[in-house]
Amino acid sequence: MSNKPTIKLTERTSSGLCDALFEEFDLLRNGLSDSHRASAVAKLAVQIINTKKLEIEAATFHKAGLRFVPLALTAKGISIGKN
Amino acid sequence: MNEFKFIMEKSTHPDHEKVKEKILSLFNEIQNLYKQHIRKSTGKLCDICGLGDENNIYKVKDVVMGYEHRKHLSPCLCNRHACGWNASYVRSRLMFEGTTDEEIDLHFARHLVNHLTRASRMKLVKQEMI
Repeated sequence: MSNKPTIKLTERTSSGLCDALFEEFDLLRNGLSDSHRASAVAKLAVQIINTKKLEIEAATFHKAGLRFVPLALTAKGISIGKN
Repeated sequence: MNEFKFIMEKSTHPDHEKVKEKILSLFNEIQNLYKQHIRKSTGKLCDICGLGDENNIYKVKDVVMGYEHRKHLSPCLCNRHACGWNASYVRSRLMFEGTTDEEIDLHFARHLVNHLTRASRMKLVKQEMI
């Protein structure tokens, strides 16, 4: 039997994110986390929320019939379109 | 209440008084039962601050605004934090528009992030003071 520690993965949903934040609250309250970690978790959560909001917004526009042009990050900069 | 108006009415009928007394005793029993229920603690703790019921009136809510149709997924919040969430939820106008559960969860996550940022700052200030 391996003695590897089990890593708890966060559910990749908005409610999963809420659970992860609640967990951080618990850790902070019980002294198992510190202010720097809590701040880092909050900053990371903001990025996830903003990305998710953008995805929802894009889906709304897509539903309304807006077509998206793919963007590619190259060494020269951002190129619009496939070519 | 109009239903209990008969208690004030005077009657010469002997059985009437007996019935009145019985109803009054039943009424007292109901009132005691209600008081017991009101005073009973929910036994729940707030998911944000970890505190329990404030008093008989301000208790921990297990179903908060926006989660009425998903009671099993609703967070438990004390009166103070539930009021804060209600205000944020109403301000966001999510309740007036046809929003998805995902959007409500995201807005709640943003609300939690604000609390977490504030809590981490408070903790840092406390640490610096020590």
